[in-house]
Amino acid sequence: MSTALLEVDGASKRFKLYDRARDRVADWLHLARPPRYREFWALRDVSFQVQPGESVGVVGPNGAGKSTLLKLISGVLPLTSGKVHLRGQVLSLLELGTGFNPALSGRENVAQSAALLGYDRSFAARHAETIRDFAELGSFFERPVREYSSGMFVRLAFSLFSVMQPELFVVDEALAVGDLRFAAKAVARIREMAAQGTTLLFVSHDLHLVTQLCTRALWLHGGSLQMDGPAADVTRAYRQFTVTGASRPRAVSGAAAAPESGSEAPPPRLCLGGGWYPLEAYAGEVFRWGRAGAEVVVMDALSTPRVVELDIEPGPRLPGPPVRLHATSGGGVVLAELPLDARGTCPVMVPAGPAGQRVQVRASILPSIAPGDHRQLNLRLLGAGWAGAGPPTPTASLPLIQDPEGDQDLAHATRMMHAALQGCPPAPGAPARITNVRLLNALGAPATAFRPYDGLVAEVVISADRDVQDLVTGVQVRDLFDRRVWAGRSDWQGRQPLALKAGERATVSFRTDRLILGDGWYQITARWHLYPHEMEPLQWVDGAWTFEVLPSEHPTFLGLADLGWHYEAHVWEQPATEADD
Amino acid sequence: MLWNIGMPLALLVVYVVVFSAVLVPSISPDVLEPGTFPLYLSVGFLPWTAFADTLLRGTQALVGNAAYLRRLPLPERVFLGQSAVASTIGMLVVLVLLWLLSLVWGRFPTLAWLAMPVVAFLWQAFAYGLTLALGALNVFFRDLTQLVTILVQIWMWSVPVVYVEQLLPDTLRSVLPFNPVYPFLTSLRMVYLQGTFPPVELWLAMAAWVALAVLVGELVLHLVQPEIRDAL
Repeated sequence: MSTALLEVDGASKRFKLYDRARDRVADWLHLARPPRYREFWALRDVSFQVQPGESVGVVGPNGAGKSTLLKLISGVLPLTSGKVHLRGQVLSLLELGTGFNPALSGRENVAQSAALLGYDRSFAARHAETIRDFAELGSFFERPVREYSSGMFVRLAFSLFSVMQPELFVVDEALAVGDLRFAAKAVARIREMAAQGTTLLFVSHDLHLVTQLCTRALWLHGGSLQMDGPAADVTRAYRQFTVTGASRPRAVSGAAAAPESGSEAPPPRLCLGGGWYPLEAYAGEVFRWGRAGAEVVVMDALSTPRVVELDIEPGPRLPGPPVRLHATSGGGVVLAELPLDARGTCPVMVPAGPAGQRVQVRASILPSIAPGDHRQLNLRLLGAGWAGAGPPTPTASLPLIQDPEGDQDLAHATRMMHAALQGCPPAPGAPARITNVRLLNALGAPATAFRPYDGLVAEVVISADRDVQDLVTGVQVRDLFDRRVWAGRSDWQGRQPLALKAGERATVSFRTDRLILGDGWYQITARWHLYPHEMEPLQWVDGAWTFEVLPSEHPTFLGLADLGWHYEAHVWEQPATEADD
Repeated sequence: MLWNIGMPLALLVVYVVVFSAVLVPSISPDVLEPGTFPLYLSVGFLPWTAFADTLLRGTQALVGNAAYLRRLPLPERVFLGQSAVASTIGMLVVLVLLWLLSLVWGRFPTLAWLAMPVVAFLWQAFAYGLTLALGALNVFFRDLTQLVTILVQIWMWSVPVVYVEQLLPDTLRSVLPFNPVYPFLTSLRMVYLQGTFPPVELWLAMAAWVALAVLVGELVLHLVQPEIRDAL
């Protein structure tokens, strides 16, 4: 038996849409054949598990099925098929406040809601003062709820929520409770609960908040699970999707556009997991050969074997012994072995099996690649129904780069950069693309480590495929929680956007003479857009360069940034008489 | 609570005044004891208002609580049951009123009166059974509330609630026993006016109607239940 707190196994929810009310009656009585409803699958075959103590974010566009999923979990909606198994009680922030009776006071409502949720009388009595103080209601706590402002109402609901101790907390969307200050307090409280081991399911459009609160995230899309992985990876992939529409899953167009009629079986879906690189960057470890890998997740149950095709990008023949790639299934079964010096493609059979099969691909031995020889191993997914017309086929790539003589950190950062660029292509039809991002130190050499107050240049190379006007480049420094520490743009400080001709390249540099960041790990995000459409970036590359600010040997400050403070102490004598004031 | 009984009481007064002038003079004394028409009317009309209230409340029980049903994993029966309990309290108030009224007329309770709460409770159970189906169907067909309002009015006049049974032509009187509320009404009157215990046939009829209503209600609810929350 597994120890999961929440097991969602193939959960599906179908809504029946009727044009006429009498059709519904006909279906109840089984008079019509075939049934007269049109189907709308709000959720289709979603499976995942949540372990006790995990905090899991759920992201996805409107209509992706997030609310439906929560309702299935809390038992409000019945499942059409599949299973939801929850060990313990679930409490959703969404539910709270709906039970408030406007005629009753805050205190009475607390007691009533607690009773409604199955807590005994003493629970409300014990926590009433805590709730009142957290909600900052003061004497209003004794007034009828109908006299409350909407902010006070939500504050009361959240405060009640925060003292309850169910096994699973569901926080839906509206953490925009009350004013900004209270919202921050609510977030802090949730983080505290998560730290204390409360299991959390957090649904939000605020990707930044998801990465802050959650270790893991689910990306729902068109009713199916598009990605399940570390929160930073998932939010990055999702943001990438919203920017470029890239790696758009097949299921999206089907479910979002129009409910399909009939029960035509959809082709199975695949998902490419992001591999290991971002995690390693977070841990500050050095990326080595033999650990490179990517993962293909087969999102649907397969009734017949299918083919995943591995496609090597053409390049110079590799010297030395042939390198092999292993493609293995989750059970460790080798599905294919591919000599790396072969050019072209290699099919890997995925056996028939349940949804969620994983195919891992990794390099088996160390290849000898000349320094500076950058090469991608591209994975393309093929097979009947997978590479059909329309949506792009999902791809992922393994960077094959090695520079054993060079700076391992630098080589790693470079590999990461190429992987990031590959993973974050420009929007379809965009006239230019970012081809290189790096950080240079004060000497003009690429670097991954700096000391406070060092000089630093962030360099973005943009290559124009067609003539382009009004090109504006932006660079951001983000910390490991994905917080934006700093952002700059090339059209600020009175500068004009760039114009490039087809085939031209531009190196855009952002320079600081004094890096005032505190020690820690940071990442560069590069983006560009066409003036004045700053809200529509045409390419957005997260994690383009990872760098470390080393601790200062003689620190003059601690924390995120040096705010340029000055220290003074003024010593004076006690006043002569106490009547002076 | 005062307002809940205010409306039926006002109507009761109107009926008493109007029908005492129009209807009562034509009734022979062996059908209705002279001067007791207000009691005859009360024991029919007041429980009827409670019954009608149960039906209407129950019909709206799920739609009216959509806010909860959409968010809380509570079973539908909670809301149907809640509305039935609320209207049953109304029925109990009616019984107390009837008792007070009879004291005014100088009549004192007999042992047979013990049957009244039982009959009232059975009547409510019958209504609850109907609301299981009505409440559930109302989720899908929102006009049902209006329809029920009209049907309840027609239903009231199809049985001798405000008028005297013996005034009906024989053909209509012969089908009266097939009206589901007839046994409840007649049993209450029998106890209240004549102080006699209802005969076994009436008990059987009441039990049969309750069983049928609950059975049909449960069946309908069971049939449509998977789609209720989808449609709310």
